[in-house]
Amino acid sequence: MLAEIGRALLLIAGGDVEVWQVTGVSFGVSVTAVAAAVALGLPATYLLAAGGPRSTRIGLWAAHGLAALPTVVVGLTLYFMFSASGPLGWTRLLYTRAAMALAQLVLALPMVVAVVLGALHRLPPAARESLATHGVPWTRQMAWLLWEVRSAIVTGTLLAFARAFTELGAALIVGGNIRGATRTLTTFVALEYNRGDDARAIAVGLILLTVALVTNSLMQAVLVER
Amino acid sequence: MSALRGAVLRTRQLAVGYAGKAAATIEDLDLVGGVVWHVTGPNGSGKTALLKTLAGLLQPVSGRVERPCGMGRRGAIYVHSVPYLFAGSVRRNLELSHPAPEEAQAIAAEFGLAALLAREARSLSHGEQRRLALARAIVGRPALLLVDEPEGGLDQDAIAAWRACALRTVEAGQPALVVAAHHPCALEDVPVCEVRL
Repeated sequence: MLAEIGRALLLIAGGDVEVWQVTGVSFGVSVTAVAAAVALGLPATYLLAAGGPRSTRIGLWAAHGLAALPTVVVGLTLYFMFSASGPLGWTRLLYTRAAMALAQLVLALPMVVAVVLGALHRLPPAARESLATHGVPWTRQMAWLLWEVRSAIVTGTLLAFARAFTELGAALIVGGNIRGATRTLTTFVALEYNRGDDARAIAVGLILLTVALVTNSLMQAVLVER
Repeated sequence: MSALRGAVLRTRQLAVGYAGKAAATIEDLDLVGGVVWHVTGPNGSGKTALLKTLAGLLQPVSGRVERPCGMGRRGAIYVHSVPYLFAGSVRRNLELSHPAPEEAQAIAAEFGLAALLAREARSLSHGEQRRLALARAIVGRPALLLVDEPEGGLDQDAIAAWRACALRTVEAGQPALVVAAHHPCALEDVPVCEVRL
């Protein structure tokens, strides 16, 4: 076991081309998905919060429910939609990084919405009323209120990234684990484990673990700063 | 506007409250600039609900409010009894309604905030936060200024600044000023119309 870990460290340090290539694909797909989740999630969250207590409750209920969605269910659903006979088959997105990013977007979006909407919900009513009574226009109200919950936005983004970066089921189903194209860190670990190349599986596992620890540390730093 | 014949705001058969439940019914009011209205009444009598309804933040339970101006700069501005200050500096909070920088500077000086402009607003003392909330509203040059329990935590200097503001209202003929308070020291020398709930 120690020998395998040693080999794994050598693979990382030695710059194994495939290990670093799949790391690049993983980051590319996950960062794209999370950026889209934040870009779509923040305005959507603000609209839910601005809609009053009823839309906030529904939004929180839906976001918390979808945050627990199994990744393979997301993968299967998108697979049937993007397969040749599916309603979106004409897009020819199946087994592409775009399909993987879309699947990860579905997984990441509820995390962003759940955390940020919860924070907006906890702001005192006087925050929104102060903006309204000073005649701040709607778009600037959104900017002011989102700035008030910026630490929740950072936390939601990091949680969404952790969820997207470490998921396996959806990436495997809609990506197809194609070498040099849609192979990511998680699908690479699964493949190398099946092939019995423990050192490479451990090497990639260590990279995943490092990213997870860094993400967690950043989240803790944000929470402590609150 | 002409239908209001100079009034900044007019109420007719107004009932105010929360979630459709009336907390108070209000005699018909015609608020004009330069007049200070003192809303008084026991706890829970609907003072805050009345001010928020006049400000346009709450819907009337019944009756109507005729208000030619909107909310914000040169409109109606409401100051909470527990004001909410936004993250960032005192200056950022003062500039919420986009005043001219020199206007913001002058009001800050009047309320003893000139030396605190760069300070984080939430790090101010309770009294300083109240002063900032009042200054933030006044710098918006509202036609109708509604202030809920303004004197809690204010020191003598701040009360003097607030009194000067109320007196200036009477002298300058604007804005219409509505103050909800139990025993407002600042209004002792100021001619007021009383609204008892």
